[in-house]
Amino acid sequence: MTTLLITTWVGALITLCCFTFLIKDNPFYRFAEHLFVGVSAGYYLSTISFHQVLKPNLLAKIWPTYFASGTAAEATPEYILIIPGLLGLLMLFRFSSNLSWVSRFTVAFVMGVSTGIAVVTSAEQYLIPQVKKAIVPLIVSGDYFGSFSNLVLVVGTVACLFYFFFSTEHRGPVFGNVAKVGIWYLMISFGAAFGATVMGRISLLIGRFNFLLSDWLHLIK
Amino acid sequence: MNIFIKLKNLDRRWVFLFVALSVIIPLLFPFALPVVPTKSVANLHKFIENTEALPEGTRCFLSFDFDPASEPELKPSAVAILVHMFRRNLKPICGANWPVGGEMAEVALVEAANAYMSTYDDMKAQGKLAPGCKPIIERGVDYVNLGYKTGAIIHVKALCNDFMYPYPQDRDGNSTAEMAIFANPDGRRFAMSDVGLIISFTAGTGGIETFISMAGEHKRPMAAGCTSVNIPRFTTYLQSGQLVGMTGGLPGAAEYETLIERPGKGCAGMTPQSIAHLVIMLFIIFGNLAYIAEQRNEAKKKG
Repeated sequence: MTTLLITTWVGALITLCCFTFLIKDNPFYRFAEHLFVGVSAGYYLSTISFHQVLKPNLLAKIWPTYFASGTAAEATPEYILIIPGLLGLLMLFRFSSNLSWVSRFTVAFVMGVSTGIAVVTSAEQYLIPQVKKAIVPLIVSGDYFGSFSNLVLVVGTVACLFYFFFSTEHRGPVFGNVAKVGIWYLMISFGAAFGATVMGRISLLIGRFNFLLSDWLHLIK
Repeated sequence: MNIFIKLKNLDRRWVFLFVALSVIIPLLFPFALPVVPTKSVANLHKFIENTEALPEGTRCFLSFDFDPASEPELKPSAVAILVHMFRRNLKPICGANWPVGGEMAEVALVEAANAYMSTYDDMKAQGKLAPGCKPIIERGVDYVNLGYKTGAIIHVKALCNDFMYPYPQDRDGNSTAEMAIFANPDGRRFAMSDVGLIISFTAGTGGIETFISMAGEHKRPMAAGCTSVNIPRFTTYLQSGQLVGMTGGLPGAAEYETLIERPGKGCAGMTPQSIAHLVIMLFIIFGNLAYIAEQRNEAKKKG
């Protein structure tokens, strides 16, 4: 109960410190900002990185009798994992200005694997399904809304692709007008994105006020 | 016209104050506004309700890919979906692609499990529970929180082959190999192919898109709970049929809460959300009127 009381008060005061930035930059806001960065880094490094990743996925597999629990403690040690472990250690060379180049081996390995996977999956799961769903009949018999919707989709896709085709100047009756339609589509999508962003930020504000008014001040249930 | 020009120079702190009041007043003096579920939320609810697609006891993977910064938007929908799953006797397996996702999952699981168990008798009397539902649900048997794993796409790729390899322990350090939730009748290792539905509560990158990119391998139905900012981006996956449904931001959570008849923080947030939107819309209209008035004034001065 005491812990809950302390954490609620700390949370509420830190929230108020952050809100003071709306008036102007000040030491209270800076304190909250620095505290957040410090606590996040410490928590991520100790509690999460070590206990949820390094210990179960590396140490417990190389030295199961010391770090694993249950039947996993009787498993055969996987010494092959020493190689990725060493690759991980190479990243620490980034702290040395003379030897920071050593960490590039690890970065190159991660980039190679990630790019290899991403190239295949991007085409297979993003590009092809989206292109497939953009190929739709312009006239759907008996369904006026469906026809209109498909027309909007096809015109929008073509016009936006035209807009991003930079090998030809966006002038003339065809290129110029179609690119203009593309700009309109993009403007509408930016408007939708802005509206959604405002909605999201208000939701976050509601979350904070909910915390302050219910958990801290107990003014609402 | 002059009043609009004066409004253009209004100190921005007045705008903050109005927005704050538009949120605080409806929270202190609540009144209900109707919440109408949209198609994407209704589709997700329908999919979880479908006993053919998800028979009782089906295990579902829920990835908590957000941190406290997005918690007010994503936790309400996560809690609503978890409560619905418990009522349907589905078994949620929670993981995370984001470092503090495991902590977010823990908070949501505890809230949802308490909500389910405290309303068990009422729900049972109303016939709103699946036949196999139990009054008390257990960790490791009916649900589990596996915590965070690094790797994003590589993490998901590993899950496609064997859950136990990336997750030898759950978030609290308990061995997963002995957990009943992962047991297969034929003794096979638990893999993504044993999951009935994948849901990712996504705040940015490394969320549902990592599961979509591996869809060719796991071939499981997917759904998303996303922040409002991501709604336009993820709607393309709904349109292409890659997602069976989606809850977008706090309104998505409110819609899901309405469908499961359990009003929570999502529904409570809808009145302040609507009022704040009205205030912002008014400011945008006044701002534009002020801009037009200023342009006219300048034109008059030049002319």
